[in-house]
Amino acid sequence: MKRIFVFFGLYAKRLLKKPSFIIILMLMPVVVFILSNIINDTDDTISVGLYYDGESQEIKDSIEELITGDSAVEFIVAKSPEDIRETILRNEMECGFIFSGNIYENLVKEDADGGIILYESAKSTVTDYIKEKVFASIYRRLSFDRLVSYLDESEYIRLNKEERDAYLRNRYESYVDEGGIFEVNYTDGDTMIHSNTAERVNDRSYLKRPIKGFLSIFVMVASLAGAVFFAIDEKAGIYGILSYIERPFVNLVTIFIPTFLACAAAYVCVLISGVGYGALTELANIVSYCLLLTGFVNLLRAVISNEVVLCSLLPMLTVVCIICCDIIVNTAFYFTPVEIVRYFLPPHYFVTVLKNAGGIYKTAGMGIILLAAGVLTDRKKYMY
Amino acid sequence: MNQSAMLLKLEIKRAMKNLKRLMLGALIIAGVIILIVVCCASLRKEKKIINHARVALVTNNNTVIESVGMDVISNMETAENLFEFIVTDEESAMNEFEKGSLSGVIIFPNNYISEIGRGDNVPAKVYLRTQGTSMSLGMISELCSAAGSLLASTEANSYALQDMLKEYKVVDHRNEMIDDMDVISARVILSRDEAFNKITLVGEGEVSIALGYACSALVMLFLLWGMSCGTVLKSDSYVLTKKLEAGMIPVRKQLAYKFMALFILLATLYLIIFGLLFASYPLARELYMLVDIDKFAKLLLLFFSMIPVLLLATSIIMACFSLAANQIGGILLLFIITLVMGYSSGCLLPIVYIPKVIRAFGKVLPTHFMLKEATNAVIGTVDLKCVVIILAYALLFYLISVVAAVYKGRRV
Repeated sequence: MKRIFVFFGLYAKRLLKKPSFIIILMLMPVVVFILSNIINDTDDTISVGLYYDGESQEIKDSIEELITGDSAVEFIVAKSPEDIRETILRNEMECGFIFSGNIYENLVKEDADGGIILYESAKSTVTDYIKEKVFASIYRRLSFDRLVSYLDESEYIRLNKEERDAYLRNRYESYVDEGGIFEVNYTDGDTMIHSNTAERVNDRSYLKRPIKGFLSIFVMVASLAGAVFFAIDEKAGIYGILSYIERPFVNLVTIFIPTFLACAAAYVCVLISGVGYGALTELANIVSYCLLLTGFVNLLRAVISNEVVLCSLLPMLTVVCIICCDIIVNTAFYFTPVEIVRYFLPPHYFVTVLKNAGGIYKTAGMGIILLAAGVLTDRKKYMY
Repeated sequence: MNQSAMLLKLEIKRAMKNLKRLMLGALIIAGVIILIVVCCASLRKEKKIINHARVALVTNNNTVIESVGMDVISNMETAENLFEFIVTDEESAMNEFEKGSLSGVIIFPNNYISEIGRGDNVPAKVYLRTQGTSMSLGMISELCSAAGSLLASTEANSYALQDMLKEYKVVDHRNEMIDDMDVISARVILSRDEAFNKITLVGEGEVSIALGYACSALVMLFLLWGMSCGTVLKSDSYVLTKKLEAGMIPVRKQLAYKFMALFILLATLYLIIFGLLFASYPLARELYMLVDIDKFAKLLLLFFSMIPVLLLATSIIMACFSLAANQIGGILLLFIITLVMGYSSGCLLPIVYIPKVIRAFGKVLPTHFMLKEATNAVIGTVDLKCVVIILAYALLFYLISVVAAVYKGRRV
């Protein structure tokens, strides 16, 4: 029993004595710190260009509203259509809108066939959303003018135009600005109220959300690397002096230490980036994930003892986890088998555990079962 | 010289001996996933496994404007490409949402439209999952916002008209006028796409999103594969260990041999991937008959164009394992560097979503040029400037490995 603690101390010393290892471990929090600060400090995300050289005050007002509105999209006025084209080709702009001089009049007449040129990048993915936003801004004015146009042509009503329009304008403005139209509720409790002028809080947390997923993969890579390191040492015969009772626990220790150290670094990263649910909750989350990962990797190592094969799992597992574990894109929405595949991948539990009641307990429970399975497998292996 | 050749041969032999086992891990993972996918598809008995994300639309009202609103949301072009809208009742929608079979629910409350008009509106509730890409969720918020704006403007129109008719005591044809205006508003909204003339700009050396991501995946795979290959080569064989202890092999020479062995390993991996793609790509069928020299030349260009990328990937892997004290450190350092460079260069997220500061930084990183060269390789162009920069970076990282190894005074 004493030898297990001796090996624990020796192994930890072996890793921590090298300053380069500590530096590498601390590199992750530094990267996350810099990234979080940049994301928090900058306002820009998707850039969209607007150009109009006509006289329509309605189009100018719409452009002004788009530029000054608070949104995930940054609208900027371009100097010329060529400027928009060149900026898009340099990948600095998602798309650009060029309004023809008489576009508004044509829109009122419902004859605006292609009057707004929309330049988009070949790699663009959200142009259509932005197009809706631009149209909605114009429509706020267009709607009223279309009503006036209808009444001008109508045979059913004969009123003084100025008086009629002034009254309509007054009533229209009083109705159009009232309250929120959509209330968006995200399943983690965030709520936003959307007004009809598309006013919203600029939410750029999508840039930070993958951080937690990548941290879970970082810990998994560290754990697997520990297993590879152990396999190399085992081949060199370092653990020969241990009995069959002690061996499984020492095996566990050699995987637990790098996992624990990586988890500590990941915990610091979660706190720095602010993507967590609270210091204590995330601490419980990381502890349960550490247990799960140690059990998972230990069992994997017990089954696959060859260090080269273990090594070869690293890149493929990393890629599969990035694709399936809901880190950048939730591929399960589009490809149903991913829902099953992700249950076999430990990072999935770290990323989603706090969204389910009792998730932390389930993860820790699974970790303990995997630990036991790994120890029993090893014991059987070394007994014979 | 004989000894040098022998040692080089030894390194390469050791690297290639492990190739089968290195591929085995990848095959195991691929095999397990294919098995799960096949079992899942058979058990669910679904006709297709690729779906749109499902969003429920719930309304208890039957006004013309709400029908238009539902039409607007479900027929928005981009929404149509990503989402499948289903009309259902609130209880079923929320049950399915909680079970996870719906990505979102949009509920229009009772008297939604009339309440807007009275200035006392209860907002329509939109429930979305935070799991998954918040970029598309962010755009969904913008979409809801735009749809809400259209609805509110339309309804404000209708109520302003009704107020005016009431104020001026217009009774004749009142309902007709209100209906006419509703129809006009609906027509304007539903024909809004006609106002736009969409032109897609393709820059020099640019490819579609799918090909772009395929190139990114290739670059990232080479770097991530370094975690395995670098670890294998960092362990020394018994013969080498003895010769190193006897001081027979200078560190720089050993580093050079390891570099060549690692490069050959990565090149072999690339050949295998290239071979598989070649065998499956329809072009291969034509080339089997060797009828088109031009396409064959492009294939050769594709193959050879990736060599600078492989050289740079090898250098980066060598540098990481030289700087680290052991295999664990090397693997973690390579992972962090790959992640940071990949993120900043737009390999993981579309480049336009990344903040300008990071984007500017990403433009000078090696992965930016690796991606550019991989893209050039795919479209069959040659950019000498890019190749020179890649080779310069490869030399820089190699020098870093040499300095690290010599400074630490030990074997790589």
